[in-house]
Amino acid sequence: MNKWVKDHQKILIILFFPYILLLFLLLTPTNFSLTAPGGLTPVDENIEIDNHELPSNFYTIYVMSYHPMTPFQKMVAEVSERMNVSPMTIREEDTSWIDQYMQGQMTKEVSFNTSVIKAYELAHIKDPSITVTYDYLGALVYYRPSRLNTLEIGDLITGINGQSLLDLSYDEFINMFYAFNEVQLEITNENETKTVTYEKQEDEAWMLFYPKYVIRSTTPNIEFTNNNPFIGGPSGGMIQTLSIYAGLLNINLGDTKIAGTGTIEIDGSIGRIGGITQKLYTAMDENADIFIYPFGHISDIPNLNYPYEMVVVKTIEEAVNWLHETFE
Amino acid sequence: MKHLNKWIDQVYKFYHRYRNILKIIDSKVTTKIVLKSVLFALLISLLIVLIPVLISINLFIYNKLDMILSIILLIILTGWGLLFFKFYYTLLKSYEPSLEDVNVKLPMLVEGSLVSFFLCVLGIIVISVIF
Repeated sequence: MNKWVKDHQKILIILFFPYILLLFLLLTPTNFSLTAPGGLTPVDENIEIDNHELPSNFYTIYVMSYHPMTPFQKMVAEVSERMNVSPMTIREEDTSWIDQYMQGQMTKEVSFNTSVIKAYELAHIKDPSITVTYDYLGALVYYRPSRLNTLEIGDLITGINGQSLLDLSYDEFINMFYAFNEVQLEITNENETKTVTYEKQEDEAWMLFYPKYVIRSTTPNIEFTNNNPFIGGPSGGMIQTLSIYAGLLNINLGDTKIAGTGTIEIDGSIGRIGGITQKLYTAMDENADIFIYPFGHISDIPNLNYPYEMVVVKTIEEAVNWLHETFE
Repeated sequence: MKHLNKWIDQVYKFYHRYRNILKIIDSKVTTKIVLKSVLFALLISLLIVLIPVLISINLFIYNKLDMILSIILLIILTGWGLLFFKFYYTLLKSYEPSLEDVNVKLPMLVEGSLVSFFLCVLGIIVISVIF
């Protein structure tokens, strides 16, 4: 071994420096995050409704999100106009990979529950036999500064400054939370209750929450069957709602491939999402016929030659009306 | 039946040749030499595969390349098994000059193939779970 090393000393020294440089380029984290085009997920593969078949026309769009990215990934991504490289936000810098995964799974569950509630409520107007009952339980922690190690992503907040969240609406809780510099949060997880004091600091990002709704009963029964752990986030909410709605009312959509993105809120509004440009490219690559997106993104749409029809919606009621007008 | 007997006979002879070579190697090397060879073979083979593995992992930002990159990683993983045993026996010979006349190609290929096959099956299982 020693003899071999001595014989090849020169070449080993020459190779050592490019090797270390390559390792640096491939391993060192930068302060940048990347959003790249992803793929489509058929909604009907993930949801089952008793005695109803979900239409196979609806697809949610996922994009690839990485942070922190390596210098090599940054060099490769900057060449492509389809990818977005941007400096990491304070929240991204403060969020570990595990926290990011938990955020994705938590928001996916919240999004599914809200989709079911909205789709059943809207379908109930057309067919009163379709019903849903649900309760508001409190607020889920989506982001908290990592210094608050007693607070986990997905913790359920049931009280604020001694007041139960059941006595407040979700919006009232949010207003109250941001009004104070120091708040006492009551957390309830599986029969265990704890109190966490949160004091706001100027140099850190504010906490973010999602409302927690629990579905008590649905007629017909609905189940989330295929929970892919590699895909997370709330951006499929609107398209999931439309798919469930069309399935409940047996709306015939022919063979139109409908891709879309946008979060769903309990008041029916469609919220903004991340990586809209990459989602537009993904829909192009996957040969979608129609692309539905939130009104909040109307100024973000790049001027490209889109091979599909673009539909912009502000609320789920607008999206449902568009569905009836187009396919009935 | 005659072909089967001939084939079994060949496998039996091959196994005995392999066992005999292993016995010769075992009688000539010490635990210290084996340990040194294993550690350095691991180090060299890992340093060789590290860069292509990291490049493949970095390129997963291209969603459309997922399948191709997974197959490349599987090939690298399988090749690593063979590479490790290649370096292991080369180093063994280098540390123990009396092994110079022993034909180590047979155990190198047998053990390398077995480990590579195991890693390949493991990789296929992981890829099937992911996709």
